Amino acid sequence: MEKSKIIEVKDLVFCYPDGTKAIEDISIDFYDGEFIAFIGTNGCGKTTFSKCLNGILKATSGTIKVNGIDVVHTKDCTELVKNIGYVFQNPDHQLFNNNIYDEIAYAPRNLRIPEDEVKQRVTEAAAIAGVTPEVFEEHPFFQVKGIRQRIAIASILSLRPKVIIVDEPTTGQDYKQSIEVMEFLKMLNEKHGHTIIIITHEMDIVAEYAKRVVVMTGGRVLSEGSVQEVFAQTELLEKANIKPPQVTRLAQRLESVGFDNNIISPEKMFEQWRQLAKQPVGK
Amino acid sequence: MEQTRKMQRTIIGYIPAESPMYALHPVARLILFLATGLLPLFIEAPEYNVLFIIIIFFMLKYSHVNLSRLKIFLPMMITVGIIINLTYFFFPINTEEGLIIFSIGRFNAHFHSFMWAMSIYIRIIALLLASIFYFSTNRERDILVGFRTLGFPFIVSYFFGLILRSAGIFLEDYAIIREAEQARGLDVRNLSFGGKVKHFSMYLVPLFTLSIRKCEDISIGLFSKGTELSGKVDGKKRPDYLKHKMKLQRTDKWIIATIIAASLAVVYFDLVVDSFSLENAWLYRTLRHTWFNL
Amino acid sequence: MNAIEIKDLIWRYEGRETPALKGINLEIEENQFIGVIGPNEAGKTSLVAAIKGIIPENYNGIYKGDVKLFGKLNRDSSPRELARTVGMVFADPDAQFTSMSVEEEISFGLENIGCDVEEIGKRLEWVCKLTNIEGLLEKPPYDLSGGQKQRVAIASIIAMKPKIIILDEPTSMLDPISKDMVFDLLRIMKEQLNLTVIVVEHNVEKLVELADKLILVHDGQIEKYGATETFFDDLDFISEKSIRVPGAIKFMHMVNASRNKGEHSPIQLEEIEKTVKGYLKGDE
Ligand SMILES: Nc1ncnc2c1ncn2[C@@H]1O[C@H](COP(=O)(O)OP(=O)(O)OP(=O)(O)O)[C@@H](O)[C@H]1O
Ligand SMILES: Nc1ncnc2c1ncn2[C@@H]1O[C@H](COP(=O)(O)OP(=O)(O)OP(=O)(O)O)[C@@H](O)[C@H]1O
Ligand SMILES: [Mg+2]
Ligand SMILES: [Mg+2]
Repeated sequence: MEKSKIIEVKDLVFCYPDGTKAIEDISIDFYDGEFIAFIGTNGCGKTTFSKCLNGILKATSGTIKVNGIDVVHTKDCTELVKNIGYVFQNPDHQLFNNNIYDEIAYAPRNLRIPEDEVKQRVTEAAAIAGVTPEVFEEHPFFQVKGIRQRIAIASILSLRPKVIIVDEPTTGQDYKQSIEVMEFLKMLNEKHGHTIIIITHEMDIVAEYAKRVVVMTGGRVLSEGSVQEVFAQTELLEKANIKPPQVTRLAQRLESVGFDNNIISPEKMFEQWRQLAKQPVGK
Repeated sequence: MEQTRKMQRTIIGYIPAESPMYALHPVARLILFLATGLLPLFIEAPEYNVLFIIIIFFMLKYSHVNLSRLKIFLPMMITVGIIINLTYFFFPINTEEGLIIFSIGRFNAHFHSFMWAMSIYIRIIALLLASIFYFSTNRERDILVGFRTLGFPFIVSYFFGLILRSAGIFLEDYAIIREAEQARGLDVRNLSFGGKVKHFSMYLVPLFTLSIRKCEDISIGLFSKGTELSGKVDGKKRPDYLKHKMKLQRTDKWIIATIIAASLAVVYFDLVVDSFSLENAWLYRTLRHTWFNL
Repeated sequence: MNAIEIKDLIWRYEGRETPALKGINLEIEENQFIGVIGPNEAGKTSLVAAIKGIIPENYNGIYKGDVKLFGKLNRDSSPRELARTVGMVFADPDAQFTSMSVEEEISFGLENIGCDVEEIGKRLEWVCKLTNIEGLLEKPPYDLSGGQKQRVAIASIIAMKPKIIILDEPTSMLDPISKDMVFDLLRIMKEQLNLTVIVVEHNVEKLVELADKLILVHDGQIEKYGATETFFDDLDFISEKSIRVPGAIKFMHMVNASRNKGEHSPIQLEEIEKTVKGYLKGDE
């Protein structure tokens, strides 16, 4: 099946004003409906790259096209935000309205969308994000972290962007909340057709949810591919300070006794063990 | 990652990544700043101050400061110039001499007032440039070490340091909040002036809430590092690692001595000999001669 | 000797209806590596903050009970004494960055506890090598990435060589290998400097490798406190408490459950590897 390109990046270079070259040279395409994870060393430019993608940072050279829009040269930010949304790592930085309703309505209002449609969008985004209308009047700042994060995502969802980038969505969250956030993103991806990009250091999360992985180091893309492909390349990953998930490492240690080296879930591993262990029984 | 940076960020702006100035001890730089910034205030004669400005320009160039950044101060310099000249045009001083350059309606441009305005203006510019020079070649910690070496007590430099740190946090949060707004489709360029003001007030709520939260965090951080507000530890003087590490070199001492000697000379010639007064200035007398034949 | 003794500790933040800590009793021996786990809002941070003495010193609320460090009540100690005994690294690395450069940040704490300047120089060099931040000394906080800030925060506490080190989610923003490096560093420090290390973490995988004992905090109480080896015997109980069970341990349990011979499931990767290989050989 031929999927349509949603993001095209060519020869991207980005320097901060002080001269730090955070993106050395990146060319990569992303397709509609993908679930992508950016992983890599601290300071390798993941955050910078995603901020370039949605035009918060203006690329120093190279081209970025999102859904056909030239991100680097466009003057029309509003067109851009309708296509690509970025959720900051710390939700506190993007909550600045006095109540949750206004918070979610903020972005569509900026686009001068009529108020009744705004209302419809807020209700929809809140429902998807699991923010109940009862709390609409409350102040976003005094909610617990999990809820604040959802409000932050909902306030981007109300723009109905095609692509949503979420920077470190599970940092500091316990297992249950991480799963909730990730299931939520998965639902956006599968049911609503959003292209999702996450940035994370948790390989279990990557293994479980991402379909495609981009490994970065020193402002470049070191490797990319499906989760299984990427996690099988242990030596390459080490260059990007990445360790495959624990099961994968176990499977790699057990390669000599017949396990595949690209297993990414305990269930899959157990399935293989059954086959391996049962073989002698069947003899 | 390879080192490509040419500049380094400070709270106020950028400083060059490398500069011959960094060989000097912070206290020498601080004294240089005080001298270049304050001496022009003793000097009325414009030509000496112009000389000062030229010297500062050379120092900026020599220290690798990015001169193109000076452009942002240009509108301010021009506005200040206009305001000062207008003030002295409408409220002239020493009019009894009656030397008038030109008149508009019943207002006369008096020669002495004009020269006085020029003298003040150039002094302000010299002070401004000296400050720009200082803050473009010194980081926060140089400033702190400079003050500490001059003998300011620990508490003073401690609070000054905390203020700098809080200002840094505030500005950082502000920048991120602006990015977040942009990510949600706000185009500040499209806003009217009233809109901009209203919209700035919107920032304040999260900014202050964040700041208060972070200040609490910092006070906890200080507590957990065992901070006690006194210049003494167990009855002994509090150690000061940076001050110890950055020792005054021979060159520093020479430079400091030279600057102090030169400053004393300027003050002497100003107060005792009166060499730098406006009336004695070469420019003043030349212009007076060419315009009024006096 | 017990490094830490907590008796009937109750703590309620001002303005909260229920206490964050509901009667904690805990003894931690010297030179142990302790992992603290538990869901969000369980009270992990409050617990370690009470050990450090931030609670009740920096917060308003109602405090009952005793916390003793090496036999001394911590509310009777001055901040400086506390800093010499126990160091704490916070979850948000920005929060504890109090100065304008990494070098000052590290030397500041050392100045506070009265190290002389030569010693400060030595420790700076030592700690920067250990934590791999040599290139950052001159940098101001706003020029560091999140991961770099966390490393600096850890370095500035390690440099003070306290007898107890508490780390509250110290590696949440680090990449996997840097995470390992921090944990390995803590292990070395514990052994060489005879430290007691307490780490709050959501990521159990690494704790399993290093911790001598684990504490499960849930709803303001200590739900379980015991040796790491046997901590995961009841997996369902652990997962119920919103803890992510590392994949290999999960797999090992599945295997043992399917064999139904009541074997004990090891938790270290090498042992799991050995056990599985053993099973496969034995079955042949
Ligand atoms: N505002 C800035 N000014 C100058 N340099 C910066 C700035 N922000 C980031 N950098 C530098 O750019 C590089 C890339 O940073 P970036 O934040 O994109 O990394 P990252 O991959 O997101 O890292 P992490 O995993 O730690 O979040 C780093 O070397 C960092 O020090
Ligand atoms: N400064 C505070 N003021 C009031 N209540 C607080 C404060 N800090 C924490 N609490 C409350 O105390 C309880 C325990 O919080 P604590 O931060 O100790 O949990 P935690 O286990 O560290 O959670 P996390 O995994 O999210 O860090 C929570 O209900 C929390 O809302
Ligand atoms: Mg980042
Ligand atoms: Mg906590």
